[in-house]
Amino acid sequence: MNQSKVTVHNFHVSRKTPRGKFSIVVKDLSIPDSDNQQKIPIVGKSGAGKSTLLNALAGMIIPEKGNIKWTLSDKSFEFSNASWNEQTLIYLRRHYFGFSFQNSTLSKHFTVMENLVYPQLLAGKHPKKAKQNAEQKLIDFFENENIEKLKYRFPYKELSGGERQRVAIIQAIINDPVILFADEPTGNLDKDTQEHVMQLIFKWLEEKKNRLFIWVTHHENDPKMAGVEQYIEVSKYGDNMGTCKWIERKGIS
Amino acid sequence: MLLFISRFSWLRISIKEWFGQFVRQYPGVRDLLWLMFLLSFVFLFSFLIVGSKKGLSDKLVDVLLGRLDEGISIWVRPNNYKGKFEFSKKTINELEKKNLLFFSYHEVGKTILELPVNARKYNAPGFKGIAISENDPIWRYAIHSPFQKNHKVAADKNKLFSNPLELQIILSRSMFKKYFDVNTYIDFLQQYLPENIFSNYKLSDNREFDEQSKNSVIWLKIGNAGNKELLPISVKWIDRFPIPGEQYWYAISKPLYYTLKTTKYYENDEKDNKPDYPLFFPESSGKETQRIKLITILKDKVSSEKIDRFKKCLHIKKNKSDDDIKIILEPEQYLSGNWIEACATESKIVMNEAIILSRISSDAIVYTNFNQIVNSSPADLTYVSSVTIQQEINQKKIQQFIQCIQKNNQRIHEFNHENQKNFVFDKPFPAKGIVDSCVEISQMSKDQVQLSLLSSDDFYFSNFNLIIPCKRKKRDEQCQDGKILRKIDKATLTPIRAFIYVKNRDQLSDAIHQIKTIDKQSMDIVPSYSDTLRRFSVIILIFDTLQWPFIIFLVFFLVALISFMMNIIIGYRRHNYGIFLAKGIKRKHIYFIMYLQTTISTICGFFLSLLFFKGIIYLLNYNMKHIMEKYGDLFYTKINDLLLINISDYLFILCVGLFACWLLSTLTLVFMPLNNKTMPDHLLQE
Repeated sequence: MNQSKVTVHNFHVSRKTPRGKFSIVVKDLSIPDSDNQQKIPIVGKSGAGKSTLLNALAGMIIPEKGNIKWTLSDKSFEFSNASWNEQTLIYLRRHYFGFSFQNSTLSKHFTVMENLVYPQLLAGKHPKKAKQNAEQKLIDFFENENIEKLKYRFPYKELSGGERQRVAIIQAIINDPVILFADEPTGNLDKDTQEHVMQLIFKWLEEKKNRLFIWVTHHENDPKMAGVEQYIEVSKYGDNMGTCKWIERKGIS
Repeated sequence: MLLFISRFSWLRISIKEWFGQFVRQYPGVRDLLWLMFLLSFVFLFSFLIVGSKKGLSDKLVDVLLGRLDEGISIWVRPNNYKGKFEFSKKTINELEKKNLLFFSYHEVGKTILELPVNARKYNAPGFKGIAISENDPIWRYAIHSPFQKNHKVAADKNKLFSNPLELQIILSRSMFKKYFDVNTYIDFLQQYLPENIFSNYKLSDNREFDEQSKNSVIWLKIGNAGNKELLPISVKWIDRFPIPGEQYWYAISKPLYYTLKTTKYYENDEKDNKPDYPLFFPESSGKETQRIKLITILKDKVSSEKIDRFKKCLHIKKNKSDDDIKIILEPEQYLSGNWIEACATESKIVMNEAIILSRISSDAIVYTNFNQIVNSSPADLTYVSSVTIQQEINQKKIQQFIQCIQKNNQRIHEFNHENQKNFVFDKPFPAKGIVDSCVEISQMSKDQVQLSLLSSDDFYFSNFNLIIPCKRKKRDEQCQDGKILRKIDKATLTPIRAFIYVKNRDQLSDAIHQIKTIDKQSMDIVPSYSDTLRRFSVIILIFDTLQWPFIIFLVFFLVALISFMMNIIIGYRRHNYGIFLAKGIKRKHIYFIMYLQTTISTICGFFLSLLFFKGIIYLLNYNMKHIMEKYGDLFYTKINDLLLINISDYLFILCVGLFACWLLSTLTLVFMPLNNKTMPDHLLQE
C-alpha cells in the first residue's frame, strides 16, 4: 500500500476574494514531504492564501495551470485544467476526502444526526448502519455527554461553538477519509477546546493508517502541538499573489 | 440497494429539509413555508379571477337565459315567417340527431286553472301557467329540487306519474312568494271548506309563506266542462321556471291539459245532450268515480236549523225544490261524498244510518248505501238507466215502478213513471225506457237524506288519444274491446313554444346556429329570448376583454413574487449548496433538491389556497343564499356558487404555478451561479 500523497506541479490557482482576484503559484509541492508524516499544518499570515491553497489541494478549485495528483492508497488520480473530471472528484469527495471548513460544513437546516448521516448515504452506506456509525462517533467524541439529546439538536441554534466544531470534525471523518482537509478547525474556540478538538483528530489519525490530515491554522503553536517536523508556510508576494514552501520546524526537541 | 440510496440521497435531504421547518426549534427563516403561503395567495387570487368570471357568467345565464339540470334553456317557436306554425316531426328528429333536448309546452290560462279567490297581490301578473309533457325536465327538477329536499316534501323520486291524468301541479315558489296573498287564500278556504276538510289541509296557524308552502296540496278552481270546480291538487314546488321574461305561476301535465281542454269544448252544451263526451272528474285521474249532484232531505227527520247549516256549509243559497215532505238541494259544484259527509257532520246530520242514496250518473241512477259509495269501488255498484222510484215516505204509499223483462236473452228492466212529484231526478226521464240492470227494492228504506250521485267515466290518456268507454261512441267511431280511441284535435295538440336544452355555455352559440338553420329554418328563437341572448353575449365579451389586465397582472405578480422568494431561498442556501458539493452531491441533484422543495411548497400552497377558496365560497354562498331567496325566480337554485371553477381549471392553475416555480428556481440557480464550472469553493465563500 502506497503512502497517500498530494502532489502539485507548476500549479496556479486563482480565487475571487473581496479584495479582488488572488492567485497561488506553486512550482512543485509534494505532501507529505517525508514518509510517515500524517499531520500537515499550513501556516501563514492572514490573507497569505492558506485557505486558497487548502481548497486547491482538496480539488475545490480548478487549477488554471499545472497538475494536481492524489495518490490514495493503491489508486492515484491526476488532473490538470484540461483533464478536470468532475465525476471523479465527486467520487473522491464521497469516499476519500473529508472536509471541515472555517465556517463549518454543517447544514443549518439539519439536526446533528441528519448532518452525520447524509454524507454516509452519499458514500453508499445503509441508513441504519449510517445511524449506528454516527451514534458511535458521537459517543467517542462526546464521551460523558447526553448523546440522545444532542443528536436531535440543530447545530447553529442549540450547540456551543466547541460542540459544533466537534460535530463538524465527526462529519468530516464519518466516512473514514484518506485525506482530511480542515480550514482552521479550531478557529473560533478557546484554547482548552482547541486542544481538545485537535487531540480528538489526532487520536482518530493514530487509529488509522496511511491517512493525511492537512489543516490550515493561524495558531503558531499548532505545528508544535501536533509534534510535526515540517509544515507548509504560505507567504504573499505582491498584492494578489502567494506561494508556499516546506519549512523545518525550529527547536525540535 | 446502496447505490439506490446513494443516488437518491438528494431526495432524502430535500424532504428532510422541507419538513424540518415544522420542527419547533428549526433555525432561521422558514423560507419554504413562506413560499408555500405566498403561492397559496397567488393561487387563491387565480381561483378568484377564474371562479368569479365563470360564476358571474353562470349567474348571468341563470338570470338572463334560464337553466335546469339538463342545461341552459333556449326558447324557440315555429318560424312563422317561413310559414311554419308547428314543430314538425322532421325538425324534432333532426334536433335529436344533434343531441339537443327538445320539449314543447302550451300556455294555460284561467279557463283551465284559477285561484279560488283573488289571492294575487297588487301588481301581480295574471294567473297563468304552462302545460308540459310528462318527461319534461321541469318535472324532474321539481321533484329533485333542493326545496323539496330541504322541506322534506314527499316526492317519489323514481316515478314522476302513476297516471298522466294525475292531478299534480308544479308551482313556482318565487312567483307565489312574491305575488300570492296567503292570508286571503287561507281565509277563503277556512270559510268555504267544511271544517273537517279544512283542518285536514291546514298545516299550522303560522301564515308565513315559507310555512304554508310546506303544504303538499293547493286548492284551485279547475275549469272542467263549463264548471269551475274547487279541488285539491297535489303540489310540487319549483323555485322558478326557466323562462326568461315570462312569469308563469304553475305547470301541469299535457295530458291533463288536453283532457280539460277537451271537456271544455262542450261547456256550453247540455252534457246530457252530448252523451258522446266522457264525463271527467279530475280528482280521479280518469278512473270512474262519483260525486253528489242532488241532495234530498226529508223535512220531518231533520230540523230546519240543521238544514240551514247544512246548506251554508255546502254554499247553497237556493233550494232546487221544496215541498211539504222534502227539500232538494243542488250544490254549485258536484261534490264528493266526503265533502257532503263533512258538511253533514258539521250540521249534526247523521249520515251513516243506512241512508239510501240515489246515485245518478250522466245517464243512470244507482241506489246504494252511503257507506258503499264512500268505501267501495264504483265497479261494485249497480247501475240502472233512467228510472222512476216510488217508496213509502212519511206513511205515504209510494209505488215502485220497475219491471224486469227479457229481451234478446238479456234480463232488462222496463219501467214507467206516472207520479213524479215525490221523487228525485236530475233530468226529465222519458215515460218509458229500458234499463240495463235492476235495483232490488229491499235496498231501499226510509231516511233523512237522499243523495243523487253523478258518476264519471272510466277512461285514460295514451299517446295523444283519449281511450274512453264505448257508451260514449260517436257515429263515426269504432268500438273495440269496449273502448273507443278518440284523438285530441290538432289545434289543441299544437304547442306554441318549446325549450331546447344545451349542456353548458360553451355549446350555446353552436346550438343556436344549429337551431336557426335546422330543417330549412323551420324554427326560430323567440324574439325576446333572442334579444336577451344578444345582451348576454355582449356582457360575456366585455368579461373576456376585462379579464386580460387581470391575467397579465397575475402573471407579473406570480413571476415577481416567485423570483423574489427564490432569490431569498437560494441565496440563503448558497453556503449549504457549497457544503453539499464538497460532500459529493452532484450539481444536478442540488437542482433536484430545489425542484422537489418548490414542488412540495407549490402543492401544499395549492391545497392551502383550496382550503381558503372553499371558505370564501362558503361565505359567499351564505350571502348568496339571501340573494337567491329574494330573487329565486331569476336563478337556478341548485347551483348557488358565485365562484365556479372546475377540476380542469384547478389543474391548469396548479400546472402554471409549478411550471413558473421550476422555471424561476432553475434561472435563480443558474444565475447564482450553479453550473458545470461551479466549484464548492465558489459557493462557500461568503
